[in-house]
Amino acid sequence: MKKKISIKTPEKLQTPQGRKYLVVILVFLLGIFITIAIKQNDQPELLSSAREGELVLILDDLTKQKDLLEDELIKQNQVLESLKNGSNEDARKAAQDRIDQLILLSGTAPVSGRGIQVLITGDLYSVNSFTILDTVQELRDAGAVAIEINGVRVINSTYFNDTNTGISINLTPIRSPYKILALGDPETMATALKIPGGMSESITTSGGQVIINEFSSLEIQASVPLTTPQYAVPVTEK
Amino acid sequence: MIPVVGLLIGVIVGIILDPTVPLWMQPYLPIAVIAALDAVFGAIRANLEDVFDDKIFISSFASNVLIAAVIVFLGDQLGVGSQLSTGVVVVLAMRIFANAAAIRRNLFNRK
Repeated sequence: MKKKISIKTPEKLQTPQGRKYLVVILVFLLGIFITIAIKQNDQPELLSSAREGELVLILDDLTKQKDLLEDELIKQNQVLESLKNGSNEDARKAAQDRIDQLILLSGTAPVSGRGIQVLITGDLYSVNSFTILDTVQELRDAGAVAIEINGVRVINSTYFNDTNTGISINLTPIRSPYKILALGDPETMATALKIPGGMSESITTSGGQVIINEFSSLEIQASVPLTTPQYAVPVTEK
Repeated sequence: MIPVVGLLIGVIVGIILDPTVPLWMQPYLPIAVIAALDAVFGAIRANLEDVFDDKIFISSFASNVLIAAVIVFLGDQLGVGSQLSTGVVVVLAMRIFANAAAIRRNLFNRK
C-alpha cells in the first residue's frame, strides 16, 4: 500500500499553470548551471579548488624541487670556496664563464646557438597567456637558455597578459601566430613540447596548430637593456 | 517544447552574463548539473510515456540536486570526496543511459 504524503506547497505551486512556470524556470536554471560548470572546467586549476590528493602531489613536487635547489646551493658554495682559495687565472676564467652565463640568463645581449623554432597559431580560445606561459616553462624545464617570442626576449621578469586580440608580453601586444625561438638542446625541447598531454597536444585539441622546427644554428636578436639594481645590491663576502 | 526553449535561453544567458560561482559551491556544481540532467531525462521519458507529472519533475529535480550536493559534501567531510563524487556520477550516468534507452525504444515503437 502506498501512503500518500501531503506536503504543504505554496499557493502558486498548487495551480497547474504555476507548476508549468516552475518547470520552465528549473530547466532555465539548468541551462545557466551547465554553462557555468563548463566554463569553470575551462579555467586553469586553482589550488583552492584542488582536492587533498592533488595538493599532496603538488607539495611532493615542490619538496623535490627544493631538495634539488638545496643540492645546487651546496655545489655553488663549494665552487665559491674553491675560487677563494684558487689562483688568479682560475678566478678570471671562472669569472668570464660566469659573465657569459649571466648574459644568457639576463637576456641583455643577442645570443646564438642550437635551438628550435615553435610556431603556434590559434584563436583566443586555444592560445592564451597561460598556454604561452606553459610553453615557456616547458622549454625552460627542457633546458632552454634563451627564449624569444615574436621579437620580445623572455627573461626572469617577463610577464604575460591576455588582451582582446591576443596576448601581451611586458605590455607589448602580440597576436597569433606566435613565433617562439628557444636556444638549447633541440631534441630535448622538441620532445618536451610533444609529450602526450603536453603543451602541443593541448593546443591542437582546442583547435590551434603547433609547428616545431629544429635548427643547428639559431640567433636570438632581441635583448633587454641592462638596468642598475636599485633596491638591492649583491652581498660581497670579505 | 517550452522547456527546451527555456534550456536554450538559460545556456545563452549563462554565456552572456558569465556569472562567477562562489568558491564553496564549485565542487558541487558539476554533480548538481548531472543530477539535474538525470531529472530532465527522466522527465523526457515520462513525457513520451504520457505519464509526465510536473509535480514529480519539480520534486525530483530539487531532491536530485540536493541529495547529490549532500553526498559530495559528506564525502568531502569524510575524506572520500573524490571517490564519492565518482560514485554519484557513475550512478547518475547509468540512470541517464537507462532513460535514454527507454526514450529511444519509445520513439521506435511510436511509428
